[in-house]
Amino acid sequence: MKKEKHGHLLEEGEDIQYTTCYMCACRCGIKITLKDGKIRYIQGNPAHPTNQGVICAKGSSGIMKQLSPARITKPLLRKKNAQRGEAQFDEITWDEAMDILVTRLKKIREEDPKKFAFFTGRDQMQALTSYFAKQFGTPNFAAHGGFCSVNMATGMIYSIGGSSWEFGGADYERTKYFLLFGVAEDHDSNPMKLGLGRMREHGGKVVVINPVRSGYGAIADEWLPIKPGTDGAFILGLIHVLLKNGLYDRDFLLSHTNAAYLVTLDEGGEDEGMFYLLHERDMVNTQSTVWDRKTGGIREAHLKDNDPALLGEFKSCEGKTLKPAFQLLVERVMEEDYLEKSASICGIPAKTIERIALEVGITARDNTVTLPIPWIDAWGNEHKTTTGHPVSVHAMRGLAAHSNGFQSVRALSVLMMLLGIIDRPGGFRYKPPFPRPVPPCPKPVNKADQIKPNTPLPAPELGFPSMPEHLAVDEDGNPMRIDKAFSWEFPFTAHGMMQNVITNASKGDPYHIDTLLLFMSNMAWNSTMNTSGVMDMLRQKDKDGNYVIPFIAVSDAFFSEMVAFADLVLPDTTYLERHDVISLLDRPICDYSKAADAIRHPILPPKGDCRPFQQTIIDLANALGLPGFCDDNGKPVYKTYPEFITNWMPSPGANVGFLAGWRGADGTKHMLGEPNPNQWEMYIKNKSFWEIQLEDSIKYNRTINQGYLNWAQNMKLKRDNEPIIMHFYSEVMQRFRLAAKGQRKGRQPKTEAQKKRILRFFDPLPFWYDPLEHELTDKGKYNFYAITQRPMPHYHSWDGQNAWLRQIMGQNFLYMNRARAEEMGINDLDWVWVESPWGRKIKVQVKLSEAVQTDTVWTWNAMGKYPGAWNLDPEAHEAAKGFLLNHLITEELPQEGGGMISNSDPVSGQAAWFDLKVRISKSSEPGLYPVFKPIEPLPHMEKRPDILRYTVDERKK
Amino acid sequence: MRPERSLVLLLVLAGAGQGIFVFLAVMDIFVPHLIDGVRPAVIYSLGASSLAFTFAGMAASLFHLGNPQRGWKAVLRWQSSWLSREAVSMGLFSAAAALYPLLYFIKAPGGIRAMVGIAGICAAIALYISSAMLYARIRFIREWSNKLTIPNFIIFGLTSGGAVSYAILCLMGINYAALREIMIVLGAGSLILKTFAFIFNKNVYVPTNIKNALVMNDPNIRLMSTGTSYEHYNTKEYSSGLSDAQIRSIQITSLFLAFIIPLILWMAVPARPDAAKIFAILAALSMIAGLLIERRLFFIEGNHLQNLYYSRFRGNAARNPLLSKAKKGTPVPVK
Amino acid sequence: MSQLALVIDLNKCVGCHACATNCKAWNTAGEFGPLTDKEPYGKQPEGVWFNRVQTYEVGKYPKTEVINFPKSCMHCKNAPCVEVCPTGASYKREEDGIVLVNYADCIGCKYCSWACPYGCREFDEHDGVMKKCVLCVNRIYNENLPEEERKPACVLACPTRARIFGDIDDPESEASRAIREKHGYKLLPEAGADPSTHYLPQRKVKVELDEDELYVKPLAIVTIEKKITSYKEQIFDDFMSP
Ligand SMILES: Nc1nc2c(c(=O)[nH]1)N[C@H]1C(S)=C(S)[C@@H](COP(=O)(O)OP(=O)(O)OC[C@H]3O[C@@H](n4cnc5c(=O)[nH]c(N)nc54)[C@H](O)[C@@H]3O)O[C@H]1N2
Ligand SMILES: Nc1nc2c(c(=O)[nH]1)N[C@H]1C(S)=C(S)[C@@H](COP(=O)(O)OP(=O)(O)OC[C@H]3O[C@@H](n4cnc5c(=O)[nH]c(N)nc54)[C@H](O)[C@@H]3O)O[C@H]1N2
Ligand code: SF4
Ligand code: SF4
Ligand code: SF4
Ligand code: SF4
Ligand code: SF4
Ligand SMILES: [Mo]
Repeated sequence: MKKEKHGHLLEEGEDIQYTTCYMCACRCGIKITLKDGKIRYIQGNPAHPTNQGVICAKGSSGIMKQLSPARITKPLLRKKNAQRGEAQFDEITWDEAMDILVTRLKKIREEDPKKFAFFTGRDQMQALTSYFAKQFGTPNFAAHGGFCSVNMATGMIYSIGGSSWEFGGADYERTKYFLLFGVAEDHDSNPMKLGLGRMREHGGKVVVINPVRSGYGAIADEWLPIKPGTDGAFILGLIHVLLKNGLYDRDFLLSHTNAAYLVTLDEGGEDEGMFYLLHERDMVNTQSTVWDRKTGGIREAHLKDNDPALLGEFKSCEGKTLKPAFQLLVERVMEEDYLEKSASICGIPAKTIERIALEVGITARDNTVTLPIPWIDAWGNEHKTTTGHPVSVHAMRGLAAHSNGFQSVRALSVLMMLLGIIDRPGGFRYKPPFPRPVPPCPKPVNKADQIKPNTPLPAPELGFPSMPEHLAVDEDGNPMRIDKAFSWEFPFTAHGMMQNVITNASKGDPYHIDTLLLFMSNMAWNSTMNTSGVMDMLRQKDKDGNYVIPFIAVSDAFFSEMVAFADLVLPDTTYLERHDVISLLDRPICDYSKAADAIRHPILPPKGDCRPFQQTIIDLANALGLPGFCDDNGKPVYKTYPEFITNWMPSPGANVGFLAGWRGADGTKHMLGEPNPNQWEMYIKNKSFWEIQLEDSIKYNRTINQGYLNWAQNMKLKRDNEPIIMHFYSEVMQRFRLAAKGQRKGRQPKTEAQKKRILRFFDPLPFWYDPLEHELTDKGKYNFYAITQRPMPHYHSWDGQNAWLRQIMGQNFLYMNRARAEEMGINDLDWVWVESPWGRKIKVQVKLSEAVQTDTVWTWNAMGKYPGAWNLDPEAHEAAKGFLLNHLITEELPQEGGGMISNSDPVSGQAAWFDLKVRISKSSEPGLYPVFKPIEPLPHMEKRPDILRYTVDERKK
Repeated sequence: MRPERSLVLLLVLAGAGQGIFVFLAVMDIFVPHLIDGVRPAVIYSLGASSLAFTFAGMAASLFHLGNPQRGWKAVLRWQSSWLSREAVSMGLFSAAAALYPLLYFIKAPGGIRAMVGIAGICAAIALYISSAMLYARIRFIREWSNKLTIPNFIIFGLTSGGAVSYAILCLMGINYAALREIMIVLGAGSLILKTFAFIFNKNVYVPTNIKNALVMNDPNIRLMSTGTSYEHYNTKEYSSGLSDAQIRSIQITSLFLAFIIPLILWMAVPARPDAAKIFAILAALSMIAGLLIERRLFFIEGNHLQNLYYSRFRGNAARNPLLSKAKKGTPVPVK
Repeated sequence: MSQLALVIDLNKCVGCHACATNCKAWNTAGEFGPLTDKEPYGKQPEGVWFNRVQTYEVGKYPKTEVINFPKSCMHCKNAPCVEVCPTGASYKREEDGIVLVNYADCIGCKYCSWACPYGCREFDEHDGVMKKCVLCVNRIYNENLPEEERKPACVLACPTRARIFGDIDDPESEASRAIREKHGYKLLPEAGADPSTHYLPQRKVKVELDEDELYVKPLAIVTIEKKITSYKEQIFDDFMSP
């Protein structure tokens, strides 16, 4: 008799399991057919909100991840006389490994907890890792976001309280016009493809703004080859045309944003550039004012019978000059030749910008989407229907990964506000737990004395500063964190600045650290700038012959480049071998109108001696007796990670935990409820995810939808039920400017350079400036922009060892515009020298293309491998022909007034990966440069097979 | 196409083997007086060498198969497959070729031997035709699918068979002037045919290009990725990877070795038998060597339609400057 | 009669390779596998795939189009690969038109692959037999699977839903409708194989604005322009077919 399971009839030895994919961070649901304990097939889970049954190239190749001979399955300790980078290790036991680590960490925690730096890469468990670091007492924690797309996150979160990235997206079903800025693949991998497919189906227009046309660009209706780093100018050009033609949604601006708020213009005071306040109250937004056209006077904003002015200049009773924020924007972009100027910056003809703006504006204006959904706003106004405009935008690292990215994303946010396309049908939609207040409430540790031996931090390591007092600087204004996040140089570094850690630690600037723990991050290779330089820093020794960064522990599942530089290697499991949560506290799987989360559970036994890193964290916390993990006597409360997940709550009785589904002792409660001992089983039974659908009336306009705000407060997604007003004009930024001008009491920047930076970049209205590296570059000489893109079938460096995916892509080229290359005498497959202004060069192979902007060259990200790493043949294309652009990218720029400063966005600390300029010359000799000395496979790893024949049928081998 | 050694050997060796048998049978049956007196020597030596050549070719061909142990199954689809027909006629021919000397040995009646001989000749011709049709059947490889392929297979087979037979007979001291003349005629015929084929191939315009393959009406289409960073069956099996210049020099070498040198040697065969021997042997060796190159070239020149998708289609216009001028406006991808 | 086939919408395909790897995953571990990979971690990995996705650039900068082009066996109605197979290992199923290779009968002569105009067969050197897309015959009739999953792996996987599976001989099928309504076409019809796989061309959406659009408020007109013209059958007529 065949058994039935989830609609399948099972043959002898067969089984069906559901879990969550982790071949990338998109978090799709997968369904796995097993035969005799081996994977027969991995497919998408049709019931899952994220991917609705589809799956990508990586997800489909999960079997090969399991099979990789690059798996590390033993804890490893660097051999006594071996150097970092040589990958010479002794195998040790887990007990020995934990002993080494615990001894070190105990000592650090007793003496100076900040000497422990813990940084994580492409993980999905920051809620756990950051909690661990916080309880340990070190501020030196961050995940990869700072070098990833924090501009996208903060630029939008500081404007509209939510972001694209994985926190929101387009209403593809209804969108008729879609602008896609600088995206090759994004975190929303499958949802985005599903959405684009749907748009092609219903005939909406897709415009791709990107120096390169590839992937998504292939199916776009129009491609605008923009010059890298100039999107801000392009978007402001669009805004110019929209404003000129009155193509903006006035009602939306009034109800959802602060565009009508009156700004005080009088110079020199504490209120310069701040909103004019009618009553002194202690809250920030609510007492702002507008000019009421009906009564001809200043009134509190958002009063029911207001008729606010967007344009004009007004005087307050005490004689202050006031203008609505909107008026200030108009003044900024209304110069006669503004459009021509934008066009000359971004390389897109003025006529095209104008046409696109009109298409967008008119499509929005003339195609109102009306849903029969009544709702009530925060001021008690009842709306019979829910309306919106079918225009949406999505942007990612093309905007983000530049040092002017924060302001470009601000410009984009303002564009969205003008069009009224935020959280309404047809436009951009938030995913729970967004929208959050602008900016969200958590603030980082902000005083040096908060870091104390044997004491948890009183505040999180990361947060969203809204005033200088929130910065993580000491009395002298010096950074408290090793990565200098939340410093005067980089105030809004909501995701930290992982890109600075190794450089700063090797310089001892701001201080030396002792132990660096890296998890799931290849910081010695593809996630660092100046790769060769950083490898040297990792090898750097002081005059006594000790490493400047004394101890590096790495958790990895594979023989990555980073592993070669580790002192201690903690072998992790793969996603099919462990428990995981994809939590609402972290980066959940929510859909626009669903709150949802998911789990992973072991489908296969751990390979060799590898152990889930989550378990290692729990074990470490227990061994160190960290509060939150242990009771007041330092006795461990949770033995295992699954146990921790089920039972842990931020505070006793909070009834919130990592998983929101099936809470309460019997599993009948959702979102809130006491721990449920059977929670994991209930998830597994429900195909490893949980979701609740928001009611129709609270799905849209959530920033000011009282029903939603109440619900969010009740569900503890929000602290209050106050409306969230979008920051058309950023008073938060002005506050920093005032501090820099010395017009604000409280913390002020100390150095001239700091003051100048803040004054220049903390403009409360969006503006465009040349990326910082471009400003410092001789553009005549370094006349190409050099950027990278993600290849759809690879996830960063993960898939070089994947036998199938590496066949699809095993070598990257430098793609050049054909006509431009031919002018320079460069032909297809020639080798060229590529030099950056910082004295670094690489030699790579060229492929000519018609689909790249004339002044731009690009390549696939993270294809190149260190010879021998990932247990590949050192002569494999990845190592012998493939390359990293990262060698050329500088992690630091010379600072005005001497010294070096991180090559990052001056507002958010986003790494400026795409600001690189290069010059290119043909090489007469083929061959890669630089070439590295190969490393040997680790003795315990499996031999590379000559033939691979994957089957679940042993007889067929 | 990628030339495969085992198939080249099969075609050249079995082709010669068939040719030898045809010569043997024709002499024995239709002009029996020619070999009066040396009949046993002729029948045994030519019969044996025919078999040797044929079996060597067949053996080589097994190396081409992924699963030679079930090679016999190739005969199953003779109704539709020329390859199957080749296998069947190969079987029939080798049976006849083996039987023929045997019948002589057991002194079977001449009539029966003649019948077997004629059957063998028919089988040999059928085999030439099936081998040729196997290639000519592939409509979209114009270098194969044309009216020259069958004559090519027949004439080259006969000529090489003749050349070997002549050399063997000379070796045994039997030098037929008539045979020499036949060889000169066949050799010249082959030379003309092959030259004609080269010219045909050079000018064969396959009026297709990647536009048709993808059904996209734009003169500028370029392959950016084959879907893999590496070669695979479909990028390797269908193209030789040789440049046009290399192909041209191979063409010339094959013409010289296979036809021109043997022709000169045959024409210059001296009267002295021991010297004639050397000339005839050299001529046969040169011809076999030349034909090995020629057959290899036959594959190399075969331009498979699927190469369009991989930008490896050797567009004719690209090879022929005159044509590319005439056909301006319909660009053809170059590899 | 019925003829099952794939219809591939180039207007949706972003070239993600999901169809290729999911196909490989389903098939290597199944009845038609393994799909051998040589030197999987070496210098020249080379594997057997039933489906590959190529990329082309069309036109000149800045008017460049990019075409991602997945290709697998077309299950031709007039399959030349079947006709030439000497052993009968290659066959076309009467009932649904699927072209298959019976590995047990295949001698590995490669002749079928030469006869295929599209390069859709792949030789497995390790097994010495010819392999190719099986149209997931072991899924589409598989009663062990839930009904909605009885579709080819590549179709289930495709994240843009650019792949349609159905009976192109049934005018009412989704596949036939898509071919009809979206100008589906076949590859190289002149090669005479009569492929069953159809491709749907890229089509461009244009927004047409009139000057008075700024002052009055008619709906913005969205027009769909067919970008790619299909090609006439013309090409092999002048062949000297014997
Ligand atoms: N030039 C250039 N550089 C870039 C970028 C760019 O666009 N251009 N992008 C940047 C961005 S946005 C990012 S996010 C970074 C990403 O860079 P990283 O965060 O460094 O990500 P990876 O290098 O892919 O992977 C890190 C490590 O995770 C390991 N790993 C995989 N699975 C597991 C597991 O289950 N457990 C453990 N413990 N380890 C595992 C892998 O083996 C690998 O060594 O790269 C950055 N670098
Ligand atoms: N398959 C796959 N998916 C991934 C990842 C992966 O490695 N592989 N990584 C994940 C991670 S960590 C991240 S952060 C996301 C990132 O997802 P994406 O944002 O898509 O990241 P990139 O591939 O870096 O894409 C940047 C795009 O911006 C373009 N671009 C560069 N400069 C500019 C510019 O100035 N203006 C404009 N308009 N465009 C520009 C580039 O050509 C490229 O197309 O993807 C995630 N998803
Ligand atoms: S998009 Fe990412 S999570 Fe989803 S299937 Fe692909 S690899 Fe897995
Ligand atoms: S390779 Fe196999 S399937 Fe192909 S023709 Fe030969 S026997 Fe038939
Ligand atoms: S595409 Fe090729 S392999 Fe498939 S049926 Fe047609 S001819 Fe045969
Ligand atoms: S139908 Fe099946 S075998 Fe054919 S390409 Fe799709 S997944 Fe592969
Ligand atoms: S899965 Fe779909 S979108 Fe991806 S390459 Fe295949 S057909 Fe194209
Ligand atoms: Mo990232």
